[in-house]
Amino acid sequence: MRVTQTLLTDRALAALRENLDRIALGQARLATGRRLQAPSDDPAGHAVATRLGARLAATEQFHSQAEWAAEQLTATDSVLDGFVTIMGRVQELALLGSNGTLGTTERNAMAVEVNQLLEEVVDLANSAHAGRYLLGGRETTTAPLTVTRDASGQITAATWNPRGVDGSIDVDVAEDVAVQANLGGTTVLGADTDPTFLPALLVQLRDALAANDQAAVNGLLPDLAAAESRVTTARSAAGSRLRSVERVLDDLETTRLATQAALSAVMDADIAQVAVELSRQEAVYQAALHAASKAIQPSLLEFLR
Amino acid sequence: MSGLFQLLGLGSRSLSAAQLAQATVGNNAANAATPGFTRRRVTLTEAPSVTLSQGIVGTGVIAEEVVRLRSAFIDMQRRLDRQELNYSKAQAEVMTRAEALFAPADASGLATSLNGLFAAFGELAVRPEDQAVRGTVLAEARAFADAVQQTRRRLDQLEADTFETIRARVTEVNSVAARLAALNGEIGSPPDPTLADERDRLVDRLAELLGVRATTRSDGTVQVVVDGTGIQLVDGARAATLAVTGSATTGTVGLTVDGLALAATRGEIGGLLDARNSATGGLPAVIADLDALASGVITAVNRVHASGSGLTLPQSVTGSVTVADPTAMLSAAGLVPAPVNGTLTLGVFTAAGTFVSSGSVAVDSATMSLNALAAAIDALPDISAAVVGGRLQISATSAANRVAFGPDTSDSLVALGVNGLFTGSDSASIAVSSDLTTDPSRLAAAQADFTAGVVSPGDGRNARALQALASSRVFDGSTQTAAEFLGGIGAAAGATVQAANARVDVQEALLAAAAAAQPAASGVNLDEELADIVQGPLLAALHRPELADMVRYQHTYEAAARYIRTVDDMLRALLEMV
Repeated sequence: MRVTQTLLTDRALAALRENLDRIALGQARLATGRRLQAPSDDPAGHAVATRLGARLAATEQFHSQAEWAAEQLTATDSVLDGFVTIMGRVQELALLGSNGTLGTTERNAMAVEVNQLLEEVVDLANSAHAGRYLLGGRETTTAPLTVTRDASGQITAATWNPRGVDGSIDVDVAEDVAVQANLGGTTVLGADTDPTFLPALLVQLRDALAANDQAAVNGLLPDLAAAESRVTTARSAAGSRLRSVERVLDDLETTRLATQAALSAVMDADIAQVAVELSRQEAVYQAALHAASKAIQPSLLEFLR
Repeated sequence: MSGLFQLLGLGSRSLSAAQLAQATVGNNAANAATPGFTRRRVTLTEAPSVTLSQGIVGTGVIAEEVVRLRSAFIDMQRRLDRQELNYSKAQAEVMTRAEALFAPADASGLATSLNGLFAAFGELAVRPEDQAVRGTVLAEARAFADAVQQTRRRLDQLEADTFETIRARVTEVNSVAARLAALNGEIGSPPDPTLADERDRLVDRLAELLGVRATTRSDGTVQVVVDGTGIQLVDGARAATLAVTGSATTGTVGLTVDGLALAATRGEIGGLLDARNSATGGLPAVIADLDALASGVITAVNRVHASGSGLTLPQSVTGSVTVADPTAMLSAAGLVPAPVNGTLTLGVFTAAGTFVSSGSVAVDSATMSLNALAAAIDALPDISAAVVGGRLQISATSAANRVAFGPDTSDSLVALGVNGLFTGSDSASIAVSSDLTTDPSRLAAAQADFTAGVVSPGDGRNARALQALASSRVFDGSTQTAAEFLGGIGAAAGATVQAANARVDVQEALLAAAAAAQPAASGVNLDEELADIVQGPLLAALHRPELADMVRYQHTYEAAARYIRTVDDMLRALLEMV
């Protein structure tokens, strides 16, 4: 084939341009650390990366929600812990009070202590975490337990929030996996119409002790036992939920790492490979420059001087 | 005597032929780097013989013509390759700018804000009573709406830019065609080689711009037809006028030649038109996909949001969608989504949150108009409804009461834009409802419980449903999630660019071959020209055999000169004899 000077120049320029393109791409990949610079670099990979990106964001959000659920359950657990301790003491006092050997003074003293425990129960039932009432169901901004006091300031009755305290707060901790992050008030202390409703029982116990009514105190014992077992059951429910949330948290962490790894495999450049490739391209570029200068320069003119 | 003078004439003809040949070669060397220059050669032929009584005697050599060494076939091939290359290149350039709007996840506002929106819904689900979280949700919703709108604006801008470029190229086509027509008038036959070069350059440019086929006539003029059509652009001294039809961002952009619609074009303009018009690989396809994303998200989010309740309930709600004809049946009123048969539940609470009443309306979308729907809702206890300016307005009858929305299986609320999170219907109009931005408490994280008669502040059930939309397959015939659909938009634009770039690579390789073939025929090799000019048996031996022929002009000239001297000697000898 007949070769002309213009052809040589054009070809050399085209080759150099192509080389520079590859160097620019390598440089961009190295600078950003990403293999995918634009969707056209790998359209299928781009679709996968977008999907994985969404999954990663969702997993991170589920992780934060699971942590929140764990926090709520831990706070609820500590409230239940308080109830269990109080119940222990109440049982002790009730048993003691049902003992025939005690006199008015002792029972009066016990009545004062039961009253104190009653106040503690009400306080605990109305405890809040991060501005939310823990036992109020979905009515998180209203104190769940309302009490009536007599002239002397003693609690005479307690009622739950009439809007309901048993609304379950379900928290999604993974796709299609929800955990109830609260315990309804009645699950812990009983409905306010129930004979075993703890605050009402404590009012009765206090009044029976104050009245030195041994038989009445004795009569309360089975109900108190039922109330205690309700609290214990609730506590173990909260505990097992907490453990399952912690397991989910571990799973989420695994999922997050796996998703991140998959995303990185699609999106990220293999730095070593890109760097080696880049320096190879640079070497090729240098060689092309030399070849071009050698090929373009000489013509017969050089030899005719 | 006269015979001897004839011999002198023969010598002078030889000299001038050799001179002309040398001048052509010199001109070739001088124009080695001139773009579009075609190498020329002088055709030497034997001069007519004279018949003498003794026999027939030759009268030497004459330079018959200067020919351009150009292959019409290679020209055609190269123009074809170049018009295809420019087509793919123009398309790739536009679509590269479009795909950049969907660049990989952490660089793209769209993917980030979409993920952020669903994450914010999740946050709202666990902290529905927290005003700060409500602010975050609204900020994320606005970020998403803004990202969609901004992407749309850039795509519109890109359409407008493409349109302007098409217009500029069309102007160029017209000026090139006009110059070509003018050239046709003066080129003459046989054609002036300089004008012929200019003519070929202009045809090349037309091919690059528009894709044309050129036929050279015997009179030296060229006829140019738009490739793939029978429409003449240049014929003789007449040039047709190419014009653009359509507008910057709406509808289809077309071309006309003297008012005649041009169906298909190649070249740069063809590529630009394809990018501007094509509903499969062009900007309209990307915009349609973006619209589908926007309307899909609007519908899905609003459908959930519409049947939820916020921390505070509204006394009155007006839909964001205006129905042109309130008497048209709901399923035929052009609403998106089209309402179906179902039940719509509404309730009324006092401002303090005490339950007042609730009721349901059975919606028969095929027999119920907007007016009828409003009347049916109005008939519910404690609720008033009316159509105000084509929009559905639902209020609690008492100013002290509030309206709460329950489940709506008829999609009427979504379609009418009642109690929605987003307003608008496509990528250009998507926005966050102003009802919510003015009162974030209205963000419906809760679901009203008409049985128990409460709406609870700690109820995040509706927000959970909103978060679950992230993984619900509501796009592309219920096969894709929003993120997958978004990834698909970028991937589709990317695939278009990738395919166009692949075509560019192929065309460039083809063109390189064609471009090499033409200079091989018509380009100037300095070595050859110099070999022509300078005598050098060594050079002739060193180079290709043809070079041996090329040193002949100098030899010819020398031979002719020596011949004249010999004839001169003969004449002198004759004259001395006298």
